[in-house]
Amino acid sequence: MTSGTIIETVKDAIAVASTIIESAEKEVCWLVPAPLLVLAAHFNLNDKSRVLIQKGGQERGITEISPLYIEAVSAVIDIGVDIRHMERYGGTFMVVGDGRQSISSMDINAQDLSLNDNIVAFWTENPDYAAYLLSSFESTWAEATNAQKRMEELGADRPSHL
Amino acid sequence: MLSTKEEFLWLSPREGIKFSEVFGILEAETEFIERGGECRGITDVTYRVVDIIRYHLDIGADVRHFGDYRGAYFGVFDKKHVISAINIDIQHLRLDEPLSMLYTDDPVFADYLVSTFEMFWRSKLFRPKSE
Repeated sequence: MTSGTIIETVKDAIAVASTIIESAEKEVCWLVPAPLLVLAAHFNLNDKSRVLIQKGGQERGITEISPLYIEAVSAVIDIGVDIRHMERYGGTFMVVGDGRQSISSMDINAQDLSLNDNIVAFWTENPDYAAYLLSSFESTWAEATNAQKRMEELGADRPSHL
Repeated sequence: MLSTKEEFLWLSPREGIKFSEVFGILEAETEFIERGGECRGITDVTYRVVDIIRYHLDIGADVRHFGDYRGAYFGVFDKKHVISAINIDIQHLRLDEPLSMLYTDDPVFADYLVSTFEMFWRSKLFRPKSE
């Protein structure tokens, strides 16, 4: 297996994720804790996603949608990202671009994320590792709930100003 | 495990603990520790798995508790060989359950998982068995 790089802070993980989205041409898949969506938006990852989709690429994402993060989720839905909700998010984090580049972490403490927090994540361009992550992503995707349905369950319509 | 000489680290949701009993991993772990190997593990110690965890402790493994852990499974052998599985929300693990697993001897990936393990091990969420 081709080696990779260990990423040690949330800030660096977001920078790597940004690079992965920016360099992708076909599809980006991600599984992230919802608080990370807020941080990612502050670092213009939504703009990278918009460009990818405008170029004809696809982006699919899985997160745990709770009332606190409906606005952040709605923002990425409006870009054109296909979002699903997973119940009882387990802390695994991954972003995979074009079945090649990936960054992943076994566990991120989703509740207390800040940019300078230490994490342990793995960044690699190994397609075998990307395939492994995507296999897990697809099984989770198949079991996950459509985001709109989830938001209806929460009784919260998308904010009108978005 | 049979070729591991010094250290075996594992992190597992409790479903994986039950799974290990089926595959005879406990026996292999016993043999490994009897050869002088060091074994440390982290899982969600609940009543459902308490007998298996007690067995791990009795044979000399060091196990710590992470409440409600539902993340990935991995094992690292001598900081080199790695087996890892991300399978989220498995409620009832069976032998025919679809599962994606990765095996590699990439030292950087092993280093990544060892670092992850040590981060968990040091976490204040843990309650050492001696307390």
